[in-house]
This record gives sequence, C-alpha cells and structure tokens, in this order.
Amino acid sequence: METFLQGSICTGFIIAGLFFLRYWKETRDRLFLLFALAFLVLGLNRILLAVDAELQEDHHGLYLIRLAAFLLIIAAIVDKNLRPSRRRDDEPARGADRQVS
Amino acid sequence: MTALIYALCTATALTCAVLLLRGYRNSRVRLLLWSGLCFCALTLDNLLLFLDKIVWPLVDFAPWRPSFAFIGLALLLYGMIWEKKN
Repeated sequence: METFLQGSICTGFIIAGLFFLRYWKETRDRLFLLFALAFLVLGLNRILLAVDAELQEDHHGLYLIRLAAFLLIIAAIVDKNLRPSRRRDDEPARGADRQVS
Repeated sequence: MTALIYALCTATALTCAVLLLRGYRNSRVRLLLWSGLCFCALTLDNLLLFLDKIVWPLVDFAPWRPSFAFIGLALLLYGMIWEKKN
C-alpha cells in the first residue's frame, strides 16, 4: 500500500507540474513557471527517496531538495506580489495579474 | 541537523499554505484555494515526518504519512481539472 501511495504521489507531483507548465505557456506568468519547476522537483524528490529507501541508505539529506522546492514556491509568491501589475487601468483584472497574497 | 531539516520542511510547507490561502481570500482565484489545501496536507505530511523520525522514533508512522500527501495532491489535481479557467 505504501509503495502504491508513494508512486501515486510522485505521479501527482509531475502531473501538477505539467499543468502549471501549461498555465505558464498560456499566460507567460513567471509564477506558474516557478510553480511548475517546484512541483517537478518535488516529484523527482519522491523518486530519489524511493530509490534511496531501496538502497537502505540514510536519506535525510534528500529532504533538502524538498525544502528547496518549498522555498522556490515562497519565492514565486513573493516575486508575484512585488511585481507591478501589467494590466492597464481600463482592462478587467485577469487571474494571472492578481496578487497571490 | 536532521531535525532542523524536517522542521524547516514543515515550516516552509505551512508558509506556502498560509500565503496561498491568503491569496485566495484576497482574489477568490480558485486555483489558489486548491493549492493552499494541497499545501495544508503537505504540511501535515512533513509534520508527521518530524514526529516519526525525531519525536517518537519508536513509533512507525511510515504507513500513514503518504496518505496526507496523496489527499493533498488529489485535491490539487481535482481543482486543476474540474475548475473553470479564471
């Protein structure tokens, strides 16, 4: 069961990363590109943890990759909020232009 | 060092969740809600990792830990697939 869940989680991260990549392609918003990168890194992290578990090695160092991905997401949100809005005043706000937090 | 890494993973996941849910509260962009909920689940996953490896090493949480991440990703993917593009 645990192996099934780990595989599903890894696949889920990769699929979410691909979704964000598609959003970036449509909107050219850097936030989505950074989210895509972070989620793909999280998927890779799960693969490395699974391989490391097979080798019976101590893998707490691999959690630094997870930490880096989370920090990338935080940086993406902060970057989005610090960027000035690109839209003109007479245009309605699109989803990509709104502040994240 | 190990405990610090696990604790930081939990803290950063929580920070992501808070920022995303605050963003949803301000903008009502649904993708932010689903992303925030995903990171709430990932926070629990990382918290359980910390409890499993550091606080209660004799108790094995390993069979339960992936469940939270699985639920979080399921919520995020549901939101991405079924919500209308905003």
